Amino acid sequence: MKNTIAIIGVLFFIVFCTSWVQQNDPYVALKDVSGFKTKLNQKNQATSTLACDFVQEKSLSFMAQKVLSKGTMKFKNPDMMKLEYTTPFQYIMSLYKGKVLIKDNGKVSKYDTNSNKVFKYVNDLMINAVKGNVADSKEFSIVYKENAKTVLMEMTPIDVTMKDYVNKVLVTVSKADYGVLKVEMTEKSGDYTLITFSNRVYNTIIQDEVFIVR
Amino acid sequence: MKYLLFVNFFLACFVFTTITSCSHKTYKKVSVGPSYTYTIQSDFFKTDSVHYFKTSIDTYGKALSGILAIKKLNADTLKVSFFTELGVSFFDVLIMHDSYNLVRCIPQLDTKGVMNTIVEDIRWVVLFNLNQLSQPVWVKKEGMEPTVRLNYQDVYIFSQLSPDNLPLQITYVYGSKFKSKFEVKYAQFENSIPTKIFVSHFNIDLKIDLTAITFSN
Repeated sequence: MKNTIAIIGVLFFIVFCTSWVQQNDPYVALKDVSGFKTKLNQKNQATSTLACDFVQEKSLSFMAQKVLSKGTMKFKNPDMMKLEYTTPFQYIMSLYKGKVLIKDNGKVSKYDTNSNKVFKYVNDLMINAVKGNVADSKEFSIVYKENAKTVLMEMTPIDVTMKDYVNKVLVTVSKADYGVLKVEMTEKSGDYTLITFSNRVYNTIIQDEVFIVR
Repeated sequence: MKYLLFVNFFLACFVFTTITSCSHKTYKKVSVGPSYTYTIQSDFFKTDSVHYFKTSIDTYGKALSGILAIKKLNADTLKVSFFTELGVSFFDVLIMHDSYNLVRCIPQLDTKGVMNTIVEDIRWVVLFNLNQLSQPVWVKKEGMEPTVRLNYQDVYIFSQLSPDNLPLQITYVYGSKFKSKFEVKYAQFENSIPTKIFVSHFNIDLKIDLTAITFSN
């Protein structure tokens, strides 16, 4: 009995310590910004494709609710990306050579990103955020922060129109492999959309046709 | 002369449009029977505080899609958010029975006409206005599902009902001219809650398809 209580006590202690460490690993200003940019750029150069799963968390502050959706993401350098939502709805958005292709409810729609400023902006933002290729962006002012395991890029849009849609974008990059772990878009209201990537597989062969939506 | 020809042509078009729009599906030739003594049922918000719908809006050749979240705050208030699949908000609105308060909205949707229409549609999608209906009477018409006519703010609402008094279709018509304004069809019920809802307007080109979805949170 005493042993059981001791084990439970130790477990509680470990859990407490783990959460304490997590809560006490706050972000501080990144010391070596140019070194980080170089490594991020090298990673980007070395990445031809990326395939992964994602979980999207949308906070609805007005409703005091959070909702989760899931799917898969495929990326091919330099400008192809496909987000395929599988749960709880089926929806595909593909960025393919300057076009946005959407499949919703069996219907395919096609938009030219250059015809719409918001599309172009979101298109560039999504692709560059996934690539981690935002360090030299002229569309954002960026503050770099770090903790033990990750670098956080706090990006604030410069364009006033875009601030109506996105107030801030937070991109979290792993210090281990310089891959993007999370992208969080915050709106003026405080609502945010957090996309967390997992099971990342780099540089497998992905044909261009995968990004064409039919 | 040219001006008169133009005016005549314009008037002819106007009369033709008016006649054809008024002649669209109506309940004009039905006669009413005895009072409907049951209660129209709705199981919205009975087990879930929020209903989510994957929503597609088609209007004048343009399409818009996203997630519609509808939360019942109390008997007289709905909280509604509409956002894209990627999570960017279109609007947040508080809806009461006779009014609404637009908390935020993207500029493209922020006009009185658009939001009035969307808000009224949302009220009917989740049958928020059921307790605002009065004077229910049976409608007699061959080949139709059992139908009840109700008074809603001095206009008529016709509701086709299932055997257990669940609405299968709501048709909102102008009281005096019986001109169809819009109809809402409820289909594919799960636990007495429709999982497919179709809203069609007849005096404007607007169709809304809603499919119920459940988020894990």
